[in-house]
Amino acid sequence: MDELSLIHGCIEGNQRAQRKLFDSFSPKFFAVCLRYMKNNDEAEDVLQDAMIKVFSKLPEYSKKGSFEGWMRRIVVNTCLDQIRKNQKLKFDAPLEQEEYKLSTNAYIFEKLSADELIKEIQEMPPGYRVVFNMFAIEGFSHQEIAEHLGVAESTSKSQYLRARAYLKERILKIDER
Amino acid sequence: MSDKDPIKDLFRDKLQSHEVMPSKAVWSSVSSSLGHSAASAAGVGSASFLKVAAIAVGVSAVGVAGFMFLSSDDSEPKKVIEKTVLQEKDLDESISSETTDSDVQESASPEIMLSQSESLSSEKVISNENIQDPQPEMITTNESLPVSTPSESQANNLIVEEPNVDVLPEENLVSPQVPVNVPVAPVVDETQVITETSDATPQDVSSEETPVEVEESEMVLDKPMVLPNIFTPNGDRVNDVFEIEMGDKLEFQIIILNQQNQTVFKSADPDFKWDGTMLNGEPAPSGTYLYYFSAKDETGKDVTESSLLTIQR
Repeated sequence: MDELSLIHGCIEGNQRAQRKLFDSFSPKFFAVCLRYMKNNDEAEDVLQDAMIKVFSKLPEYSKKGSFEGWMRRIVVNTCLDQIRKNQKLKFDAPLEQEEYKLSTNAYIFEKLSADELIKEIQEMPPGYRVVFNMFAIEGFSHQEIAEHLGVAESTSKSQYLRARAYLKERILKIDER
Repeated sequence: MSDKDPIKDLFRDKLQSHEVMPSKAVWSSVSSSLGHSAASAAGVGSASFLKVAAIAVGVSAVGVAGFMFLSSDDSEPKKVIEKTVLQEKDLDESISSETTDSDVQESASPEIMLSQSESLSSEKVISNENIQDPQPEMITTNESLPVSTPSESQANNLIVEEPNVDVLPEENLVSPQVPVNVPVAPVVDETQVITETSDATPQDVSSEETPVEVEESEMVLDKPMVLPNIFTPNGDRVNDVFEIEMGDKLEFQIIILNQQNQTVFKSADPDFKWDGTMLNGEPAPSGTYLYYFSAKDETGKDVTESSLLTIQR
């Protein structure tokens, strides 16, 4: 079943097609939700909402551009909505630029598993977490992030730099354990 | 924005195509909100649970009612009995509606299965199990099928993606080895600082005025000074020494003070590397220190800087 007929099947309410779409993409999107939300339960709740949104918005999918990308945007937006609902996103006021010189050795990186990285992301304050995810992993520009979140572009930049410094330090700590 | 961002690379490489299996319950809820009987797992399961719960509630209600009846001789016992009877009726109704629902579901799902000639075996098994009394072990083995064996077409997507996860970490080996001491924003800060100092002593800088500034900032951008504010002299070979990276300097002087304003280190060597040993030969304890340094670059321009320095062992 190719992508288009899968989409069609889902729109027509074919349960098998829906199941297949869910099974094919939910592991990817669950990983996304895990990065944005602070624990498994929240991530599953959001994934559920997001997938329901995906199915209900399928008829609106223009069939141009990446289907997965389209769905992923829905998932990310659902995460952002939920975070907004949970609490007002608090961004620290930008301080003077801190400069860290924590050398980052390849071998530290090598042994870090994706799960450990997710855990580190989850432990960050929500402001760091959202901006870091959007910039570093989803690849949004700071301008796009600023528009998405309704903050200044400089806020996005400073949040990102702080998140990065934070993660760097955390990673070194992992290494010392 | 510089492209060197090992942290970003690390997280992006490892997480961009990372996959985690959500629990079964997510599909159940999604499916049921799509208007399917589906979630047949959850549907039937919770219905039977409801029955049990309803019966339990009913029994306990009768028990409570009986107790109340016995204990409250004077206070209108009839009303209490009526209430419980009413409650039980409600419960019965809810039970019967639940069961009819799930009956419909059960009879509907085999039809769906039949109409889809290919019929995914895993789905079938799961729904069958739910009609009978499910054995949890079987469910889990069936669920893991799509991941471990590519027997079903639906598993293909997953399998295709997985190699990414294995391959990417090796690429990590390459990129982070590039020395990473050049954070992004500070470059800008330093240009500002240095142009300020150059403004302060304009006469020193020879004839041309505007071009010099441009050259200077270019030079700085080429080889930005890195002023570390933390290092970890704990012998793990990671960030064990404190050093200042910069272009060629003619005169150089650095002094590091502890919080009691005592000098713990000083050097006139621009290529100095401090391993955290104090002047008295003892290792400097973890904590915050302060350093000042001054230097003169090729153009004779003075550079003086100070920064806090954290030692973390």
